[in-house]
Amino acid sequence: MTAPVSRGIAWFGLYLAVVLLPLGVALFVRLSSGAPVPLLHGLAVAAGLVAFSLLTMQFGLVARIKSAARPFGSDALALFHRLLGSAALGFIVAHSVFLIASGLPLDSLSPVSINASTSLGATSLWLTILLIAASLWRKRLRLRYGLWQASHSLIAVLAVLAALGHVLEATSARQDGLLAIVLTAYAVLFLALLLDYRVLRPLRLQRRPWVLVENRDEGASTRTLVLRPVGHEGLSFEPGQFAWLSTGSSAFGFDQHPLSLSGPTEPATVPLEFSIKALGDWSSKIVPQLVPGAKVYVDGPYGAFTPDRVPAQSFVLIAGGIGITPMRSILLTLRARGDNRRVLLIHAAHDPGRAIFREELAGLARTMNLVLVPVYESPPPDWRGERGLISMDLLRRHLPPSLAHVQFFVCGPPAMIEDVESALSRLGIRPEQFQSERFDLV
Amino acid sequence: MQHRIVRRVSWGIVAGLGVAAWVFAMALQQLPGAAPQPAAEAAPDSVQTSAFVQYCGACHQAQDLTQKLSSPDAAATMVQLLGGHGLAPLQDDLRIVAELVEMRGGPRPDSGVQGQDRPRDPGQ
Repeated sequence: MTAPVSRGIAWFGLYLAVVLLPLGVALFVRLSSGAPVPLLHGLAVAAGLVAFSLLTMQFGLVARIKSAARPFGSDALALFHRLLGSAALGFIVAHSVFLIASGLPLDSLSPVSINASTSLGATSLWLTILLIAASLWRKRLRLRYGLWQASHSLIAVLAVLAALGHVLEATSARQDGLLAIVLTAYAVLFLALLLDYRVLRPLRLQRRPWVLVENRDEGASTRTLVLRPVGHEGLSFEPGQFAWLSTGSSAFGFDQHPLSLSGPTEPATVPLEFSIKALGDWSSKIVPQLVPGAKVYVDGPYGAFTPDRVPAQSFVLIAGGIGITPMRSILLTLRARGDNRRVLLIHAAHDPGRAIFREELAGLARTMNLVLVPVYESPPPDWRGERGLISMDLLRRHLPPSLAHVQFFVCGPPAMIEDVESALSRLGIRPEQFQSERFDLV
Repeated sequence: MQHRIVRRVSWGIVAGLGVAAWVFAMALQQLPGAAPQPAAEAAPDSVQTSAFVQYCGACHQAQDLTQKLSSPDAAATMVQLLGGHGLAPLQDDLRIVAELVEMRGGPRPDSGVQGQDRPRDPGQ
């Protein structure tokens, strides 16, 4: 078993243990001094405790803790956060259903319920439903990203505090002091992470501003922002990583955007570059209006999508749309280092006009050990290259004969990543040979 | 990391949590301690409420309602709630309490109903 896989299993094991700890404590307390509890009631208590643990642990997954994100990559943690958030809601609903089945009146689902404990529980339930619904359907509901981020944080805090009040009332009624201490510790940890994330981190970023030196139009609705540090040494990153960019007047703003660093990592004095495609309100309205001299804030680097951490004899990069940005960083860095390992870049776009960095990549193919394979979904009639979507047949045509020491990097829309993951798996690529990154974290 | 692996691991964790919840509930159901019983033989004036408070405290409602038993309506609601739990003996006790409250226009100070502390049953 490889080291990253072992680290991943260890982290998942730790996560499971932390989520199950309150259940273990409750069982211990009951086993040592308790009377039998009907099954439905026991299930309700169990579901409630699991839901509370999941809810308080949720923030830890997306609090930009580098050591936690390192084995998986931030986008994998974001996906895990989304899935476990829905699971937390499932356990909260199960908690309510079991309680109602064991005699709790239906009107206790109202936030203005028969007593403080049920009111708080119902409040937490409805807030969590609101939290999940707004996240799953943000785009459908046309919620602005910054507004969604702000409301997501606020509702999450309220949901956790309501849940804490609910469980403390319940544990107090049963005199479960030890359990109350454990659950309070979870809530305190949640709030401490939030304090670091929303107050201490912005304070640190505020002291390390960056200035925009160029806002370059790359064509294909894409702009590259070039930044230099002001009064500090900047940041060092690995090619393929990303950072959170805030273009507001302060680092405390909620409008922060995860963006791949698109420039080379070397030499160290090179300015930072972010290439941004106009896909949403911020990228299409604010970014084009940024003028040189504007102050911005950069939190990073993050992500495990980098060739620097994996041994390889050659690389296969597969990019779709704006997913080309981390690939550009990787290619420019390999060239700057004089790294002559073979690179195959499969670059998918709707048509040549929408293929970002098309000419620059063609130039790189002439100056380094790079084979460029453009794939267009709707190419012009005279196009003789690959067309359609990236398929297993297409991969077979271009992949090197021996894949044992090749590392694969895939970045693009979720549907493309799913297809490529599936195709590579069928081609016998091992999980540790494969890195993927989605650019739509939310 | 491949997203399909993340999905599989997530489902695995959720399934594991579900199994743990089931095991927890089964273990609580089979605890060796005696189930809380009302003081069936006690005279109405000395009805002990700690047993049902202890029991229904688990559903987070009894505590508040018990403290409001000066109202016959609250006592009636409690009877209804306990009915949901299938606790017929406790319902009988509560009916007695409710009747006492109604007869006297309020609970007696020594009835053990109004203003009592939280349950002190050593089993909790």
